Amino acid sequence: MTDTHVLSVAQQVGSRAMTWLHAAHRDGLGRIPDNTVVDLATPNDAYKPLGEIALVASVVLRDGVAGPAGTRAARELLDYAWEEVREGDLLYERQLRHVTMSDPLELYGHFARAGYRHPALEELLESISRLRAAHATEIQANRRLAVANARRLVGLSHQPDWDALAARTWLGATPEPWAVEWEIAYQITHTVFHLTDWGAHPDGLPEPMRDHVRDWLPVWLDVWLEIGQWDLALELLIVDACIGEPATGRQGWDALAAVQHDDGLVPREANEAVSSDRDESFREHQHTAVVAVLAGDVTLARALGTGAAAA
Amino acid sequence: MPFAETSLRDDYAAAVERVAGRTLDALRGGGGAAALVDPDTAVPRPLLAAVRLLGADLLSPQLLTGAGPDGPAAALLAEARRALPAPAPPSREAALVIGWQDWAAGQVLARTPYGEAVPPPAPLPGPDELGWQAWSVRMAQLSVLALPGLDGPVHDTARARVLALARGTVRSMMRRDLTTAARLARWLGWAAAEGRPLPLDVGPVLDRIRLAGDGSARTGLELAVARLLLDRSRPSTAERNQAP
Amino acid sequence: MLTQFRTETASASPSATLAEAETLASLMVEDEAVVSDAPTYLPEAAGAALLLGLLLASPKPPKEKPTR
Repeated sequence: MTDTHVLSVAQQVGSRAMTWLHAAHRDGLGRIPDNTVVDLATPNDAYKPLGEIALVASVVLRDGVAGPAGTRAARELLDYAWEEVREGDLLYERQLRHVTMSDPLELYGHFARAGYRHPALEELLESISRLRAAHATEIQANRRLAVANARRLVGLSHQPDWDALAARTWLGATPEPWAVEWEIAYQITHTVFHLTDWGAHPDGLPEPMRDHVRDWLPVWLDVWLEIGQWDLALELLIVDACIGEPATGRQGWDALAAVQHDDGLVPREANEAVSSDRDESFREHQHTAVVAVLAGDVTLARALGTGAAAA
Repeated sequence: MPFAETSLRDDYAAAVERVAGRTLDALRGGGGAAALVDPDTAVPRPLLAAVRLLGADLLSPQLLTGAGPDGPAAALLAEARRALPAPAPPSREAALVIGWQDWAAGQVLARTPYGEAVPPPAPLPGPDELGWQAWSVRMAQLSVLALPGLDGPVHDTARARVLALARGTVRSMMRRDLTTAARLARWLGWAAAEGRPLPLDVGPVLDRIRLAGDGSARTGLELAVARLLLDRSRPSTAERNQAP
Repeated sequence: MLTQFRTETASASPSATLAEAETLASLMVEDEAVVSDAPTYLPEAAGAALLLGLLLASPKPPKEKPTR
């Protein structure tokens, strides 16, 4: 059982991060430039962050534990992101042009999770997922899981072999836990996110992988908290909430609550000054805000879900 | 001119390397620590300090390899405990650690004609009180207790909390503190010799530290003891794994 | 017959004996490394991340590897 102190701190960190994220988008930060076409020049500048907005907002709405203000903020963010991708048309045009590109599908999956639909895009995605080419793209194993989860969210007929996909990841090999590098840690977190769809299916993580995560997650969290990798620490806390009973305690949440700013910003890492320029500060810390909201949300959802199941 | 204390520390550290190197030789079937001393001359104090510091490990060849009794090594250890001033630890916690190290030395000396057992000091807090991180650092400081034939409350906690030891080992590996990692891996080897299932594959850890660690004889001694303990749990693999 | 050793006499000065006692204790109770050298973002690994293209909900790298 999660201790109530953890739940209250998680709730506080997550809701304050949501306030920061919502205020930034309300004030027009992170918009896709008006003249954007399907061949995005710099997808990481606005397009990818919009996908993250759709992700966090749709998971918050799905879990329904955010309270009235958080729920309203999530709804507004999702409406805003849907508008930015021209109600799916931008994704449709990009996918129509690029058969094997997976990002339109991945973004759309988050909208679909919350019921924002684009029938022509779905027909296109269904057709593409029947191509051998769609499954032959040489991408990392955890990225393949991202695509499979997006297909699951959209409800495409293609049924992946989840166990085979999972087995090909870093975690699937249950390697020496001390060999995990910084980038590998992010691959691990994403493997868990996609297999469990951000905590919706804790059993989606095969048991040997879950045992491995439960054994070593406290170490990874401790090691990266010590050097102030707050963004990664938050992703590890999401993982902890996606695998059933938590394997870590108060350490991570207390540390993150202590570094969160009054306006809700959570610094990406300790060894980096937060810019006083709001645009720059938003660009640098929006990902950390997204993972902070998600970490708070799935931690609460898991604990409340467990409570309901036990009752 | 260097500060006196710095040079004393350097003298002791150099002596520790010599004594650990000799003990390592003995573990591999060579001569013991007593070969360091000419019986007709006075034992230099830094060397005696090194013997005091390595404590029970001086007799690890007898405990681990079935080597015959090493009277001179036991006599040196007894002399070190008699002649040197009692260590002056900076904190109560450090005093407890030293107390347990001395207990271990007393236990192994009691099997020789050179000493007798000392009563166990106060118990140490476990991982539930300290957290697995601080507890494992403490256990690294007590690695000399991870020897066959020594048993007590520290060992009971180690037996019961193998996962915490393994987490401490991985944590130290990732902090690239391979000296602490070696001492914790030795506890895992001990747990394996006790028949406890290990959540971590210790062989690759020992190999990694051997290749990427400080290369000191003292760390080498920890690794060699860990390897011998590990081999006790898997006699069939003893031939395949050469001692580090 | 039991082996016996003769030890160098300690310095007559009490401060020298205290230094021995303190040095001995500090070496007997070595603490772990004060500063962690845990893995962080490596610029040389960034090329691989760029090749992956769009990594949803993965972080942008810090501007540079933090120095300690």
